[in-house]
Amino acid sequence: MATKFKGYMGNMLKVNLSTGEVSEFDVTDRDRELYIGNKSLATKILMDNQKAGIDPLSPEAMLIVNTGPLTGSNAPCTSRFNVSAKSPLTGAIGASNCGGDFGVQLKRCGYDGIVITGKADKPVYIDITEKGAEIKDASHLWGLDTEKTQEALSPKTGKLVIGPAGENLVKYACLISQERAAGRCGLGAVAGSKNLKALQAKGSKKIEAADPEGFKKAVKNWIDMLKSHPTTGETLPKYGTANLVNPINLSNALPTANFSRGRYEDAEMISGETLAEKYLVKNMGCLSCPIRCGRVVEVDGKQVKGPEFETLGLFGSNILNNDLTLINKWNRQMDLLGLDTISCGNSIGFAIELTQKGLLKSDLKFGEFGWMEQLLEDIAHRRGIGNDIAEGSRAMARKYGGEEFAINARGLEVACYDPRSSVGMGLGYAVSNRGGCHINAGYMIFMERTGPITMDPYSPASKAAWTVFQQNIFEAVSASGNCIFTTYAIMHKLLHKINKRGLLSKIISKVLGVSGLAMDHTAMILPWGMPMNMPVMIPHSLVIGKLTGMKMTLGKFLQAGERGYNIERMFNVREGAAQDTLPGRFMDEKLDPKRPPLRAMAKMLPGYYKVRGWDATGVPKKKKLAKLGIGISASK
Amino acid sequence: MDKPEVTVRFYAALRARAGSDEILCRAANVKDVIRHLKSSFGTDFNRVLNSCHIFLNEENIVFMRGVSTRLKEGDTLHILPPTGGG
Repeated sequence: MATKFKGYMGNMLKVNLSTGEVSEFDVTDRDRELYIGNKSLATKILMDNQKAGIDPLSPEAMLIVNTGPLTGSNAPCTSRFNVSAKSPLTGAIGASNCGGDFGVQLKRCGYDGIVITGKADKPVYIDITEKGAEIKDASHLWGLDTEKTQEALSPKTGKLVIGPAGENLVKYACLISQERAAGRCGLGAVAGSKNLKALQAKGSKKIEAADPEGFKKAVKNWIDMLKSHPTTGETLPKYGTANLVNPINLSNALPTANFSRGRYEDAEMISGETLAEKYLVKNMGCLSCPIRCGRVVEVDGKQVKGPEFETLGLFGSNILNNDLTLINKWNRQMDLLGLDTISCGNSIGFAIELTQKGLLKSDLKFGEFGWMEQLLEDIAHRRGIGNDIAEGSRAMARKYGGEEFAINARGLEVACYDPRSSVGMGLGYAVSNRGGCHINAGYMIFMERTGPITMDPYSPASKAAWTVFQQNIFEAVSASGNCIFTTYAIMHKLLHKINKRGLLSKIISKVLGVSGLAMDHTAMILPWGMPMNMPVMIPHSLVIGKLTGMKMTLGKFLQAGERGYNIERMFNVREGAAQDTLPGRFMDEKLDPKRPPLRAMAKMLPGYYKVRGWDATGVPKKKKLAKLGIGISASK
Repeated sequence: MDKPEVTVRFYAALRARAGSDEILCRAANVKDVIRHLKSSFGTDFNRVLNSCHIFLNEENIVFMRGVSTRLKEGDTLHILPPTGGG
C-alpha cells in the first residue's frame, strides 16, 4: 500500500493514450493531508504536471478523474467523484463533481484516481480492473448516445461516458455516469479530444476504516441527522432541487427572458410542486445517499431522470417556456447527447436575445419552441447555428456582439440565480475560480434568501467574509468525496425552529450582518484555532478522521478547503484567467427599480481579496501561499 | 369595517399538511394570518410554520415590518418551508 492512510486505495493510474502506456501515478501522503482528494488534489496535480498555457483540447492536456477518501466508504452521500482539466470553455480550472457509480468502482479496483494524457489514434475506452487498466477499441461506440454507450459496455461496471457532444468537442459537453452528470466546464470535450469515449471499472476491493467502530457510529449519527433535517429529510426528497423554483422566483432571482427579469408569471407551472404532483414517478438517490433528491419522470413511455432546478429555470423561465413536459423531454435529450444543461440553456437564451435584437439571423424566439429538439441535435453535432451555440455565450458574443447580455462569468454560463437580488451571490460568481458556478461561488443565496437565518440580500456588509467561508467549506466537502447537499445540515435543524418573524431571528440576522469583522480573521486562526470536531453541524472532519486515521480537525478541514481554493486560483493566474467580473447586464441594468445594479456593489471585491490574503489584482500573496504550504508561484 | 381579504398560498410540504394550495382569509396584518393558520390546521402544520419564510406579494416580510406588516384587500401571502438544492 502506497499510503499510510485508510480510506484511500493508495494508487493512481496514469494512461497515455498516444503511446498506450499505462503506469502508476505517485501521490504523496503529504499531498493527501494537505488537499484531501478529488478536485483540490487534482488541481495540485495539474499545477505540478501540466505545462502552462496549453490548449485544453490538445493531446498534452491532462484529464483527471479523481475520488476522495469518503468516496465509496458508505458514509452518507459519498458516491461523489470529480473530473478535472483545464476547461476548453473558459481557459480556467475546470472541475465537475458527479454522483454516478464510476468513482466507487474505481476505488474497488484499488485506485483513487486516473490521470489521462495524449490522444488515441482511433476511438477507445479505458477498461479498469484490479489488475490495472487496458485501452480498448471503441469504434463501435463512437456516435452512440450516453445511454446506448453505457448499455454497450460490460454490465455491472461503473461507467463514465461521453455522448455526441463530447465527440464533437462542444465546449460545454459533459460526462455521464449512470444518469448523473459531471456537467460543467466542458470536460466531455476534453475526453472527446483524446478520442476517449468511455471509462469503465469493476472491482471488489474493500475500503477499510482506521477506526471501524468509531466510523460506523459517526456515520450512523450523520445519517440520522440528515434524515431528521427539514431540508435533507423532507424538502429535497419530496421535491428535489426543483423545490427552489418558487422561492427563487419570489426572491426576484429566477432568470427570465435571458436574465432580463427576476420573476416569471408562470413559475408555478415549472415548479417542484407541479413536477411532484403531475410528473414524478418516484425519487431516486446516488449510491449511499439518504437524501434522494433525484427525480424520476416518464418521457416517451420510459422512466428517466427528471430535471434539476437549474434546467427548469434555464429551459423554462429564461426562455419563457411554461411547459414542463417539454423540459422533461429536452432534459432527457441533453443527457443522451451529453450536454451541460446550464451552459446550453443559458447560451440558447443568449442566442434568442441576439436574434430578437437583430444581431443574429435565426428562427429562435422566446415562447415558441418548435425548433428546440432540432437545435439541441445541431448543437451536439455542430451544425448550422448550433455550431455557434456549441462554443458558448462568450465566444458567441465575440462573434455577434451583445457581450453585456452574454450571461457568463469567466466564460462559464451563470447558473440559475440572478445575483442582483443576492449581492453575495454576485460577488461569488465574479470570483469563482471555475466561473459562473453557484457552488464554487459559495452559494450565498442560502445566507441571503433561502436559509433559516438570512442577511440583507442587498447589503454588501460582511458578504466577503461569508463568501470566503462558504467557498472554503464547499471545497473541503467536495475534496473529501462528499455531496455538497450535506452542508444544508450545517444550519442545524434547531435553527429552522427559530421563528423567522421573532426577535431572536432579527438579532441573529443583525449579528450576521456585522460579523464580517470577526469572520475576516477566521483564516488567521486556522487550523490551530479550531482544534476540535463539531459533528453536530459539520460531521465531515470527524468522519474523515475516523476513516483515514488522519488527525483531522475542523480547523484542518476548513484550511484544506482554503488551500484547494487558493491552488485553483493559482492555476487561473498561471493560465491568464483570473479576471473577476460580471456581465454588463448584472453590473449596469437594474432588476428592481428601487435597487442599484451590481456595479454599486463592486466595493465588495477589494474586501474579498483582503479576507483571502490576495493582492489588489486577485493574486494570492506569497505569505498566504506559504502559510497554506502551497509551494508554487504564479510565474511557474 | 371588515378586515381585508387576502390569499394565503402554501408551498412544498406545507401543501400536503394544509390539504390545499391556497386559502382565503380576512386579516389586518400578518400576525392575524398566522393566528388563523394555527387554529385551522394541525400541530404538524404548525411545527413547520415557524421555519417558513413568508412573502407578502413579492417581498419577504423580514425586510418589511415582520408580523406587524399590514395587509390590504387582494394581497397574497406566500408561505415557504425550508428549501435546498442548487
